[in-house]
Amino acid sequence: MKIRIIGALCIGVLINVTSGYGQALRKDPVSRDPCPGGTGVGILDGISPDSLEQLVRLSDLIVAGTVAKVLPSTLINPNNPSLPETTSLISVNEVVWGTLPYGTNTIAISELGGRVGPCGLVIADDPLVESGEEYIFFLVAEKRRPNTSGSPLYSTFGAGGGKAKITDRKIQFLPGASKGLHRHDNTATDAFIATVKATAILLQKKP
Amino acid sequence: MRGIGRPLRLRRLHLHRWVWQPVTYSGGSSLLQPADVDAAVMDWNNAQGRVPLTAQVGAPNDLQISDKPLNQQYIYGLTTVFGMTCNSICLNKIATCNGVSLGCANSSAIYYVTLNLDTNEITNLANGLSSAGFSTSSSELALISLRHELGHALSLGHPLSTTRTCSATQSIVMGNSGSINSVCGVTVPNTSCDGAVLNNVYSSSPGYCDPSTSATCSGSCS
Repeated sequence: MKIRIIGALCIGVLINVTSGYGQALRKDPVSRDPCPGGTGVGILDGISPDSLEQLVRLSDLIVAGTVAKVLPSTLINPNNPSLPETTSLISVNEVVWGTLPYGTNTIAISELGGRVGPCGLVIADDPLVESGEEYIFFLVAEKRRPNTSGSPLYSTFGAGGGKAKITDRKIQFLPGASKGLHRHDNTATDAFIATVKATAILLQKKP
Repeated sequence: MRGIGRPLRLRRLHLHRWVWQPVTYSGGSSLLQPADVDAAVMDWNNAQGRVPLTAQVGAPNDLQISDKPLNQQYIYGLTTVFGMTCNSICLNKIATCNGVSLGCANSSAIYYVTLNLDTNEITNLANGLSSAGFSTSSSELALISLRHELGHALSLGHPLSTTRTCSATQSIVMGNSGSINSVCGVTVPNTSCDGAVLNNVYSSSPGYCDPSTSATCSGSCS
């Protein structure tokens, strides 16, 4: 019995020592699983408004809201397992500019990132929203794709600049936002909302 | 141009870095001719020498370029870096190529990169610029975007938005005039900024690994 145990241990050690030999270090192009047990780090590139005026001009709807629920991530394309997106439900606390669809106080926003099965994607400098967080959202309507969230679907504008986090009643744009937007960091939320409203009026922007 | 000669403050991409070179690439975009893709790659190879990129059909496949809808308005590109955590067989083992150690395939080492361009958004952007009186074709914008994303694939992040570093990986910003520009108008990687930062990220070239040679991993490291 003792000999059997020692023999099994030796075989185990041998397997452990030799298991790495002959394994491919580089990715095989025919591999269908790019991320077994892993998470990719993405850098997102898009139009980044260089001022609050530009951001307001290009937004369809601007709201102050609280993240009510983060829905399970889904794949943009089932054949593309490393490209998940995540939809979150936002409870609107105040419409800063624009008009909410009739009869609702909840909207959905879609963001790149999340995890489906073995594949995760984290967007650097633009993490997914989390339940309970508060933001000023600068939104564009998403009308080009199926919406199963039950609420009107939007996405935040561009890369990084479309959501400003509210912490201790102060504004903080994400690291990827432009210098012109970061100028408003640490502004009191009420004052920032007033500035956004004034900007929209100046632009003669119509809901 | 503002920014040249100032301290370089480009950020690295989450400490991931290639542990071998050359890095092979394949694929392309419907908005670009294969020669355009090769030219964009050459722009980076001319700006830096630490991690050369080389075309490769078939195995191995370090960098895959393709068109993919990203489902977000005003978003035209995404570069995703998969570290060795995505290659559990070799994670935390010593990488070897042709008998030469390349270093540790730890969580900081790049395993694979995908570079996605959203051609619909690039075309929408080009059309918007055209209607605003700026003559920029979707192919030109796709080429600028590809050069930008290739910088990420080599491990460069966006420069801090609070600086005015002139770089091909500087975010493209929209000015109040409606024009689209990268900061300082830099749309092609340059030796003085992009190349210098890569030389800083890679203090020496990663170990050479001929793409036709099978790289392996063994032992353990961290």
